[in-house]
Amino acid sequence: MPGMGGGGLSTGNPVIVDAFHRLVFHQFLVVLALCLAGSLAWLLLSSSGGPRRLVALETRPRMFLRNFFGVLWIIDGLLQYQPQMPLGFASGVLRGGAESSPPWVRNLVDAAASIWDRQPIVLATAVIWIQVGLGLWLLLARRGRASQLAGAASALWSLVVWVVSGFGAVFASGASLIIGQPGASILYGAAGVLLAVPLSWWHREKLEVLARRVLGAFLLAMSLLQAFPGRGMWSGISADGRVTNPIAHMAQAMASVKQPALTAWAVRSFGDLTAHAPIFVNGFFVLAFGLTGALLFSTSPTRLRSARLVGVVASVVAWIFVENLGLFGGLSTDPNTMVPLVGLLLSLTMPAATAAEARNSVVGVEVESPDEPGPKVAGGGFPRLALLVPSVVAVAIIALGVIPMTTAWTTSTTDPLLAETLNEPPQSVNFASLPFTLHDDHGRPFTQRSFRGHVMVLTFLDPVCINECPEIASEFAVTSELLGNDAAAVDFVAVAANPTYTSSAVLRAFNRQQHLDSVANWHFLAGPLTELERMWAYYAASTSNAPGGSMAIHSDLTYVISPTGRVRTIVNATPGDTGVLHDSFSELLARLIRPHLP
Amino acid sequence: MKNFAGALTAVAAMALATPMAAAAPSDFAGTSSTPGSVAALPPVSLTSSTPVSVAALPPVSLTASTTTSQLITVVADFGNLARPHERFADVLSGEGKRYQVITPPGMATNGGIVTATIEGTRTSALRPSQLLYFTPLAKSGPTGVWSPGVVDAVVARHPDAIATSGNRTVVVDRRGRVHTSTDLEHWTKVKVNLPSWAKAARCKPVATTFATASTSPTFGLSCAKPTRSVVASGASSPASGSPLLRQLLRFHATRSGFVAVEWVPELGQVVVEHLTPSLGISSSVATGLRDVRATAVNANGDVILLGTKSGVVVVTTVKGAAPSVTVRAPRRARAVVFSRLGEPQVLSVIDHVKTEQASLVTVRTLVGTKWQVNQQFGVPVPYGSSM
Repeated sequence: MPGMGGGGLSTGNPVIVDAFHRLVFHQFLVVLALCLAGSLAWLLLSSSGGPRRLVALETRPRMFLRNFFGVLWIIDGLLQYQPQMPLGFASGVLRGGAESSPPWVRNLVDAAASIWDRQPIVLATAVIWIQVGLGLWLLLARRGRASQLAGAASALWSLVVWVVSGFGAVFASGASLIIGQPGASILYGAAGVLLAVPLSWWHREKLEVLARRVLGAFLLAMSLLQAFPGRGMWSGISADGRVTNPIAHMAQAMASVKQPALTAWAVRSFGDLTAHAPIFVNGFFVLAFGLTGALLFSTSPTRLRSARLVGVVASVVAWIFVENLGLFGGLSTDPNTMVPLVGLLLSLTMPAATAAEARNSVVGVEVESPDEPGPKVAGGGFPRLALLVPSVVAVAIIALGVIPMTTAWTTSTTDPLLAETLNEPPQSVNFASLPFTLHDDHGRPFTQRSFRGHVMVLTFLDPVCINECPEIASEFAVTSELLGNDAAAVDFVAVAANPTYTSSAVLRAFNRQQHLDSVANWHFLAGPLTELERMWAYYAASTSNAPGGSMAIHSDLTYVISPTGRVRTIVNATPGDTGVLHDSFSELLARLIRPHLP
Repeated sequence: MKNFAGALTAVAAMALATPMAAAAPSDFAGTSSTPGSVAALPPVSLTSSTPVSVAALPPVSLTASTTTSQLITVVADFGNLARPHERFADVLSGEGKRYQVITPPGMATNGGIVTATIEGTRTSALRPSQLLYFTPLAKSGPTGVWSPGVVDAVVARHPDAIATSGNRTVVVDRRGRVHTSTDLEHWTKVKVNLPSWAKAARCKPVATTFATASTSPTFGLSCAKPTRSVVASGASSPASGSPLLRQLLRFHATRSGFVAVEWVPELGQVVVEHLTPSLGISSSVATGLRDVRATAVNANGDVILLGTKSGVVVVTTVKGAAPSVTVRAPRRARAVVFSRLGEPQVLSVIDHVKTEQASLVTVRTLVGTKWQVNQQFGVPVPYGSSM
C-alpha cells in the first residue's frame, strides 16, 4: 500500500524455505532412484564376470586426497541445504564476500548474484546436487579415466565457484590465509587438478615433489604477506580503543554468529588474545606457515613429517579459533580454507606405501598402457561396463544441478514465487466487473465496454505517488512484453487513486514519466470524483488523502478481468524492494493472465 | 510566446566586482532592461581572490517565508532532517492571529515545497522526490482551498522558482528552463535570451518574480563558474573587474524594485542587494553571515536571515540600505518571518524523530533585543509514509 511502506523478503522466509526443501526432497527421490538403478546395474554387470585385466595401483596419497575431497564436497553440498541459502546466499555470501574487493570484482560477483536472485530456489538446489554428485564421483570412481574426469570436474567446478565468489576475496584489502584468502575453492581446485592427472604420474616421485614445492611456495608467500608490515596484522588496538587487527576482527565477527556457547567463547577469547597480543599471535602464524612452506621444499622424510605436524597444528588453530570451524551462521558453504589445506598437506607429505601395503589396500586400477610406470596387479577387476556405473550415477546427479543452473544462466526468467510470497497467493474469484465511465490522459472517454473481448488487468494508481505506483506501472509494462503477441488481447487499466490529482494533465505527466505514453494497451483513467469513489469502493481500493505532507493512501490490489467482464483473479501488487521482485511480479501476472486470453 | 519571451529581463546573480563599484553604485543605476536583453546585476564592494569552484556553492535553503500586506506564508521542513525520505516540508499560514499548517494535500512533500505568495493568492510547487519526475502544483485563493495543477518538469530547488501575476504563473525548472501557464495545466516553454558572458559562465535561471504591476517576469541567475565579462547587450557597464561567483538565495519583487540575497564564496559571506525596477543597484549590505538556513522577505524588500556568524546561530535583519542588525537566534530556530507589523519572528522546532510524534513549533517575536514567545503548536509529520 503506497504510503504504508514497501516490502522485501527475509532470508528465512518460511514460504521460500518450504518450497526449497520440497524441491530438494523431490529431487532427492530422483537421486535415490538413480542410486537404486545404479546398484541394480552394478550387481547385474559385475556378476556377469569378465576378463581380468592388468591394473595399476592407486597410490596412498592419491587415494587419501580423493577420499578427503570427496567427503568435503558432500559436506559442502549438505551445507547448501541450510534454509537461509536460497534468499541469503547472493547477498550474504557472494556480494558480502566481495564487499572490500575492487569494483570490477564486485561487478562480476553482482552479475552472478543477480542470476541467483532471479532463481534462488532452483539454484540453491542445483548447487546441492552438483557438489554431492562431485563428492560421490570422487569417492566411487577409483580407477581409470573416470577417476581422472572426476578430478577434472572437481577442478572445473572449484574454478567456477572461485570466480563467482570474487576470486576468494584475493583482491580484497587485508587478504590473509588465516582469515580465508585466497578462498577454499582454489584449494579444492588444486586438489582436483592433482586428481585429474593420469594415475601413473603418481608413481613418479616428480609429481609429488613438484606439488609439494608449489604448496610450499604458496605457504611461504602467504606467510610473507602475513608478516608484511602496514597491513594491521601486527597491531591490536588503536589509540581510540578500536580493534584494528584483521584476525581479531574476523574472530570477533565469527563469535557474533549463532553457534554453541563453547565455540563462541573459544573464538571470542582468541580474538581478545589477538587484539592484546598481536605480535605473539601473528608471529605464530607467520612462523608456522613459513616453516611449513620451507620444509615442503625438502625431500627428507623427517622434514616432511615436521612440515606435516607444524602445518596441521597451525591450520587447526586457525580453523578453530579464527575461522570458527567455518560452519556456523546459516550461510556457511564450506568449512573454509584450513580444512582443504590440511587435506593437501596430509596427502602430499604422506609416506610412500610399500608395494605389499598397496596391494592389500587398493583394488586394482585399469592401466592405460602396460608400459607406464608403477606397480600393477593382475586380477581383482570388474567388467569394464560395471566399473562405469558409479560414474554414470554420479554424473547424472551432477546433471540434476547443472541443467537447471545452465537454464537459469541463459534465460532471464524470474521465479514468480518470490512475488507471490511477498504479496500472498493470488485469489481466484468470479464476480461481475463494475460498469464505469472515465477518461484517459487525452480526455477520451472509456467505459467498461471499451475493453470487452480483451482481458482487462485493472489496478489503482496515484499519479503523483513517489514510490510504489511508478513501479507497479513499470511491472505492467514488463508483463505486457512478457506476453508477446498475446498482449494485443490484454488491456492494462489503471484508475487514478488520488482524490486531488485526477486531471488529464497529471495522467499525461505520469504516462510520459513512465514511458507509457507509447504503450498501446496501457490506459490511465480518471473522471469525476463521484465516479472514482464508486470504483474505489467496489474494488476495495480504499483511497483517501492523508494529512498534508504525505501521499494519498490506497490499496495495491490488481484485478484480472476476463473478456466477458468477469473478475477472475485478485492479486496484491505491492512491489518489493528489488528489481528481481518486480520482475517476479511481472512473471506472476503474466501467468495469471494467460488462462483468460480469448 | 515570442513576444512574451522578448519582454523578459533577467538579473544575473553572478557578476564582477570592483572596489569602485560599491563606492559608486549609481554607476550601474542606468542599466536598463531592454526587451530581449539581459542586464547584469551590479556588484558590491568586494575584494576578489582566487575564483571559487562550483563545489563551493552551498545548496539553497528552501526554508523561506514571504510577507505581503494580506498573507504570510512560511515553508519549512519537519521530521528527520538527516534523512531525505523522512524530511517533510509544510506550508504554514500566519496572516491570522496564529500560525497554522495549510500544506496542500494529496502529495508527499519530502522533495520540498516552493511557494509564490502575492496579494490574496498562494501557489505552491510540490517538488517531486524518489520516483516522481514532474511537479504537482496547488493554488489557493481567498477561500484558502487548494486547487491542483501540474507542470511536467522538476521545478528548480529554489524558494523563488515559481512566481505569479494575475492569472499567469511562471516556473523555472531544475535545468533552467522556464514554463508559463494561465491554468496550471497547459504550459508553454519560454525562451530566455542570456548574454554571451552568462552563457560562458554557464548561468541559468533559478528564480523568478514579477515586478509590481508587471506582466513580464524577471529572472535571477546562478552561474556555474566565474567569468571576467560583465557586459550585456543594452547595458553600459564596463567590461573589467575580478571574477566572482555567487549563489542566489532569494530573488523577490518589492514595492520599489527587487531584492536579491546572495552567497558570495570569495567573501565567505552573504550579501543583500536592493535593485531599482530597471535593475540598477540601490543598496548593498554585507551581512557577515557565513551560511543561511532560512530567509524571509516582505513587500518592502526587507530581509531576515537565519544563519551562522562567528560560529553562532544568529538572526540578521536588513532593512533598506541600513546596516544589518544581528541578534542571537533562539535555540532550534528553523524559520524566520516578518509579522504583519514588520517585526522579526522566529519559528523554533523540536522534531520528535524517535517517537514519531508531531513536531513542536514555538513562535517568538523580537521585542527590543529579546525573543518573546507568542504561540506553540504541533505539526504532524507523516513518518514512514515515503518509505
